Amino acid sequence: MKSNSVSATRHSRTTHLALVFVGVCALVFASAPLWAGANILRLLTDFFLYLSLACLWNFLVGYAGLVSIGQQAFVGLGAYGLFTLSRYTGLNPLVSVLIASVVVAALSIPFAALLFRLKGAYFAISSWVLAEVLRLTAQFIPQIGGSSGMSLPIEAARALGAQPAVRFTTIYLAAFIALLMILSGIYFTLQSRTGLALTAIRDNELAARSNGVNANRTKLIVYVLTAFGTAATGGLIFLQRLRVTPDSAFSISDWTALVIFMVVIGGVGTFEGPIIGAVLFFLLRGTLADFGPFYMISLGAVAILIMIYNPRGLWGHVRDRWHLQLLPLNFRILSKQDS
Amino acid sequence: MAAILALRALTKSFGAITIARDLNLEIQEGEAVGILGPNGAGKTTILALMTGALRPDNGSIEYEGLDIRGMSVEERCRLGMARAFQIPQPFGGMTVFENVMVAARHGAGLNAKEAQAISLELLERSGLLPFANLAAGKLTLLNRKRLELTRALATKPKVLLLDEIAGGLSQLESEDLINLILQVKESGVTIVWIEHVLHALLSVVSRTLVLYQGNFIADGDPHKVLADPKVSEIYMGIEVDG
Repeated sequence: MKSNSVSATRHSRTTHLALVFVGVCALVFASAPLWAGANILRLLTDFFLYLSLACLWNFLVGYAGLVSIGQQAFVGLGAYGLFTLSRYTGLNPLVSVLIASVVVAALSIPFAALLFRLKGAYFAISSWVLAEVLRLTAQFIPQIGGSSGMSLPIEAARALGAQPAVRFTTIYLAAFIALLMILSGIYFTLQSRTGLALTAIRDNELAARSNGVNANRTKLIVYVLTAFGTAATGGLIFLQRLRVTPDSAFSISDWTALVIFMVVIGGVGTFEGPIIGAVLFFLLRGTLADFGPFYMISLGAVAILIMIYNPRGLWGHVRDRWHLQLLPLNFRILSKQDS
Repeated sequence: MAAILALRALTKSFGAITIARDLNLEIQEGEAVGILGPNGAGKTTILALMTGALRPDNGSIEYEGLDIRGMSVEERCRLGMARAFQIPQPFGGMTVFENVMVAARHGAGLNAKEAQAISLELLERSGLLPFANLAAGKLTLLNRKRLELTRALATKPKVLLLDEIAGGLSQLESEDLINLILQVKESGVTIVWIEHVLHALLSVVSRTLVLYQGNFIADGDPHKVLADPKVSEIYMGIEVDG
């Protein structure tokens, strides 16, 4: 085998098919306001927002190895950023979401300076503590409604559409575009030099650094990007709800625990895993939500079963078993006769 | 000629154990230096001090005349210091090719296209090309060692630090590695090599140091160093078969 008789590629027939499939899905969802009723739109909005959170958490944990259980900090900050800007500036809410996300991303840098001193479980716990501190702080600031929270000013809601139906469509499209941007952001980061560094750090940090990888900078990039995306998603979640309180905005169970569930059952550290996990979660929720406490018990049971029998998650299992790669993220070396 | 790598009055101890006591060493560009010493003498620690994985208690380390004490492992790597670990440290979940790509893109700072070309070329030279698509965690010991060396070379080093790269391999197995190291040496790369497998070491290095109780007790022509009674006393029982 000679090096000039081979070439490196990320593409294969499977990845081409997968990209076509992704394109078809994107078209179907983009046109949903034309064919779907209000209930389906709301469900899909919900799904897109949760899927965004799941992909972001997976990016942070599965790729950068930063096990955070405090991502609700950024959901809450994004939500409060939107409501505060809407109350005090009267900007279009979507513009407010964007501005708030940029501010939150900037804020995440000092957070990182604080949290990055800690590793592993200590990092996880302190990320949670940070979110709790933010929740408690929000309760004590009367300008943002204290513990009773605040509502989105009626003019801000109207800016998205005079009729609720129009508003839902706007938020749906915003959530869909946000998801597309988050997914492609993660995808292109993983394909880049930074992506290579991330996988190397995940496998062996000292070896990665010994081969020239700036581990801290790489992790910081992921942390800040994730904060940005999570804040934007948080803004959109609460834009749909029209009301925000410290407890709902900084909720660990809603914005981190359920998200962990999705990522873990789907497969941590794979691009496709969180997508599968989110679909499965919404199917389970749709079929079991009427059974009250039984719903949470069965979610727990599913999570435990998968942890025991399939610690790499459903997608991790499928990928390892059939050597499947849907998205062109990993290189294959082909000899030129084959290709 | 200025030294490419110099240790100046370097001191490092772990509790009561002194690894380096006022250690001085100058290595010239293009030199191939072997470091010997009994187990536990601190040879690996010396390499770790050079690459920045450990910090000295005192003294300084100069690289191309620059004091690099304050630099991180990754900065030193980018300046041209590459280390192949004693126990190979592959990125187990990545393919062999991707392992080398990490070094080419981050260590050598090449763009994607250049990095791919150099990675494939190095894989061919080290005989790993047929394994390019294999997860690095699934390689055999010999191939892990090859990968460790290939990856270090992909950072485009000026100084290559080798830690017992021939250890655990049969003579036949280590021959390929030695040939590759000889090629690297001929291309002008400075080599610092810790090794117990003397025949491997002696076929490459032109200068040997012996580290013992925090000092270099011998320095010079490898065969003369090994013939030194002080050295044979420390190395009692080890036969020189090079």
